[in-house]
This record gives sequence, structure tokens and C-alpha cells, in this order.
Amino acid sequence: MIIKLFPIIALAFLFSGCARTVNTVGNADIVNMPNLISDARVTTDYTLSRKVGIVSVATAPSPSGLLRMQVTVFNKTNKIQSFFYKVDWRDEHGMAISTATSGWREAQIMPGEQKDFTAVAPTAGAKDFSVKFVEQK
Amino acid sequence: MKQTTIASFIAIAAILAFSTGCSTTSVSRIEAGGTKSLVSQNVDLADFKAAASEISQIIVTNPTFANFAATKGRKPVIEVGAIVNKSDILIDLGQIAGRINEDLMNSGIVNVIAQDAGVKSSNEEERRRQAFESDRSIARAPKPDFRLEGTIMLLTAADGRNREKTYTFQIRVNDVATGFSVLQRTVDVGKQFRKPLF
Repeated sequence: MIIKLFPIIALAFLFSGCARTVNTVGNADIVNMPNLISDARVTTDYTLSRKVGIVSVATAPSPSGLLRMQVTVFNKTNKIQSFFYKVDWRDEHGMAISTATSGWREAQIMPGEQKDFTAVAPTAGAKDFSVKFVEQK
Repeated sequence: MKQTTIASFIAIAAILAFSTGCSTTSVSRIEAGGTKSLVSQNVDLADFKAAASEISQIIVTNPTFANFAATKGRKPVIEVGAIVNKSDILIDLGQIAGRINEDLMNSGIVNVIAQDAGVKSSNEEERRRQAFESDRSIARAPKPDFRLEGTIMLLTAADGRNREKTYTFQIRVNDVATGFSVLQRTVDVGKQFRKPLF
């Protein structure tokens, strides 16, 4: 009987042991709430959006007047997820701004982790932005 | 016997032709530092971009520079100084310093002193000409309020055939007048790879 049950126990052990997820704790009464904004989403890769979800998008002005943005994402799986992301900015006329440092960034997020990605507008006129996510194969 | 020899000869000739002259190298254009770029064991373009972006963003949002114009009535002047490479690889420091320079300049928050030799010499000539025409002493070259300097360091770790390299970009912005550091930012770039057996 024990011998018959052994593969099942081994499998259960294997699956439970692999999942190392992030436990998080913080102050319950949040003092400084981010300025959450409504966002417009275009999802073409549902595989990625099922794994890594966008929790919120927030903005705040910096002391120098440049806009700061923050996208919070959450790993819904029990595996580390690797992906690329890119922040594009648009100027006061809605035209895309290219900078020497703009481009795809690699990121990793632990299972069950909530992570913030921030960026600062390259010029004071840049008020609109978009963040793109691509799964790393 | 004769047929076997001919067949062997053709096979060898075909292999030789395929392995040497007939094969062409396929080249495709990619987005520099993009998702299709090769990830090297050392720092690559994507790392330079990420580090420079993080450093320039922290500078332009720092209250020291944001409040400078309000108190002094002009934008702060920054000079991008020396970035010392203490790592094990040869790095073109322009890849990081130039990108920080460009982002700072285009932000409109600070003025950046030009480092190009042509500008420096023409500025000197212009100042001399103006001094001669106005019969005054030669005007001074623009002096920086802050100087950006930094270090690139390397930390290595090994576990069996596994290797880990951490490149640390440490940038400081120093107040030229007081000699105090007003800002320091450290960006780490980690690379892990498995050393081949042979």
C-alpha cells in the first residue's frame, strides 16, 4: 500500500517544494497614497497578461517639474517571470520623444511579488506615456 | 569498388564545399540594445542605457538642481568629469558619460559644459576677440557649479562552473564650490553564466 502511494507523495512533494512565493508585509494605514490614474490597455499577448498583471499606474510631479510615472505589476504565477519593458514618452504636441537611454529593459519578478517600475519624463513638456511589456522567451 | 570510391569522393567534396566556401553568413539588422540583442558576459549596450537612464533620472529630479534656479536665478551648470573604470574589461566610457550628458542636456533642467575640443578652442578665441575689441580683460570660461564623476567596479563570484559578475556604476555629483557631494547613485548590473567545460 505504501509503495503504491509513494509516487503520489513524491509528486505532491515535488510540486509543493517548487513554489517559492513572496510574502509581503507593510504598514496597514498607508500614509502616502500614490496618485493612481485611469489607464488605457491594449493586450495582444494574453499569455503574458495571465502571468504578470498590471495592478496600477500612478503619476507624480518631481521637484524639477518633470513628470514621474510608476507602473505596479504583480506576478500571478508560482514561477519567476522574466520580461522586457519599455517606457515611451510623448511631448506637448503628442509626438514621440527619443532619448539616448530609451529602450527595452529586462526585468524579473518573483512569484507572488508586486513590483514597481518608475520612469521620469525626459523633458518638462512630456506628459503622456505608454509602457510596453514583452515576455522573454 | 570503383563506385564506392567515387561516392566517397563526392561526399567529402560536398562536405568541404559546405563547410568552407558555399556557406554565407546571414546578417540581420536589429534594434540596438533591444530584445533581440545578444546578452554578453560583460556590460553591453542595454546595460549602459539602463545605468545611464537611472543616473540621469535621479539627477534631474533631485531637489538640489530643481531648487537651484529658484535661489540663484539661473540653471545649474554641470560638467561631466572623469568616470574611472576599475573593472576587468575595456569600456568606452563615452557610452555611459555621453548618454548621461545627452539626457541631462535635453531635460532642460541643467546646463552642461561642452567637452568638445572645437567648442573649447572657439570659445577661447571668441573670448579673446571680445576682450581685444572691448579693451577689457579676457572673460572667464564657464565654470561648473557641479561636477559629475564616477567609478565602474567589478565584483565576481564563482560556484563550480557557475560564474557571476556584478558591474557597479557609482556616480557622484559634487558641489565644486563647497567640495561636498550632493548626490550619489549606485547602479548594479548582474550577469550569471556557466563556464564551458572545454
